[in-house]
Amino acid sequence: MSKLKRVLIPLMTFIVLIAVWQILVNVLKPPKFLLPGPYDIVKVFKTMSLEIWQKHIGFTIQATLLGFLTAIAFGVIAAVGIVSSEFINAAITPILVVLQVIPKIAFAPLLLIWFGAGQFSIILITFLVAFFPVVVNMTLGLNEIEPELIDLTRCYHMSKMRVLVKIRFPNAMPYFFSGVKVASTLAVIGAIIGEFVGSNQGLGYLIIIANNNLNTPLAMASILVISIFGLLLYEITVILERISMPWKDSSADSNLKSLS
Amino acid sequence: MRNDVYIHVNQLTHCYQTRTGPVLALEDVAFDVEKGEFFVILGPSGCGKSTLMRILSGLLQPTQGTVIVNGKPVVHPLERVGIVFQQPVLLKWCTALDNVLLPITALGLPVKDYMGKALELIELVGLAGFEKKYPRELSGGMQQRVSIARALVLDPDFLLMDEPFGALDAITRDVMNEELLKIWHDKKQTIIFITHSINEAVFMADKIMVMSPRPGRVSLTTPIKLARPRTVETRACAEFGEHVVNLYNVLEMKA
Repeated sequence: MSKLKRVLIPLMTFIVLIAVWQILVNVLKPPKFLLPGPYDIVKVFKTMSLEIWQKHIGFTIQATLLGFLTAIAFGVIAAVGIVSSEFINAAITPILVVLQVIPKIAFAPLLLIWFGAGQFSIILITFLVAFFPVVVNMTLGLNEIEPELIDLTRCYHMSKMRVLVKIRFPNAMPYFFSGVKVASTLAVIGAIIGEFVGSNQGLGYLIIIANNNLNTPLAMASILVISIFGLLLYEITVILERISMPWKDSSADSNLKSLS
Repeated sequence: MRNDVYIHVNQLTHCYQTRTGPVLALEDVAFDVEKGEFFVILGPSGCGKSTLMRILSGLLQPTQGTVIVNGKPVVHPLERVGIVFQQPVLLKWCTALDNVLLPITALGLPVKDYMGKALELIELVGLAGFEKKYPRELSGGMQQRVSIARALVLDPDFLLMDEPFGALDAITRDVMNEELLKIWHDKKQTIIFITHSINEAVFMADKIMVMSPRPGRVSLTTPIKLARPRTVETRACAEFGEHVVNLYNVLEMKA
């Protein structure tokens, strides 16, 4: 299938679905709080002031990005530590395994009590949910080396540090990006739910307010913005992945696998 | 020890400690390999071939016995031995050329001094034009050729090959047999070549050492005096067939 068709067909399907939705709304005339039409959602963007949008969008995006990026940084550092030192491995890994199983979202109310209802709590929740996929995948990637390759490094008398830099790190890159892709979707979810639990700003907050006022168009508009943001974050990761790994097989399947 | 003996193995015994108790992998293995000889170790799975190979390369210290290579006992991983495994073991993120240069960069040697040699070797193994390709763009046979070029880049006197063509299809394997012999004829390195294919063993070897399994022991050592260079016709001649039948019998008896 040509590239043009691959873009046009989903686009056409999408437009048709939107059209069908609008027609249904026009014909059945459901109450707006139940099922708004696409145009009602567009109207929300026209009527609500840009400043207010910017404040809430900015809040959520900032919190998500800060949590996400620090999760990546700490995730990589933790993985390197686990692989480099038996002591760190023995100390951290059991704790990580236990924490991985607990739904981090469950911590949200607790974090709010400890750190208040500000942006910091949101960043923290985002960090917690994004951290685990990164550290788990990175550790796996650093460790999954063919034993014969390790044999070769011993023949060349390579130091542990050189093996880490020249062999383990490049080998870990596909795993790293898998983890980052998962983390990016989780980070957005984490931020929104954090805002649900207790925040007075952000897109999650907007959704809560909208629901309370039965302002479904606003709720859906907020969800739309969040989705676009999440999608952008994911796609940027995919692009960075392709740029940094020209040697990697870049089939569509590999993107789908990482979503599951 | 005669002075053309390059590798001398004596009373080699190795015992692994496993969860279920000690496992004797090799028992009293002894053999000599002359300089420039194509020495083939032939045996079924479980005869300790890979253990033997790791001990010969210095990656593993035997529980008993000695290995002397070029007059010096092997006590740590040998630097200047060319090793080829059954899998190509290439760095997926490096081009064929960079993979061939891996020993150079790993040992911290100046790359520009070896660039010519690396390119020459890539041509020698029949991969001219594929220098900039990544492993994923190469077939299994081509990847294995890169791995052979890599083993040769430091101009080793000693090559250790553990079933290097085992993962290839039969046709490619036969082609690679001839290619390897051609490469060997050039510099006449001392080669220890491990295989479980009787046909391959007879085609390649100056001498075959047959091993039997559990524990790994030497069954017999036999010279193969077929004329060189060996071609596909060699595989069809009567003497070749006799050797093969002979070895079948030896291996059957010990099964």
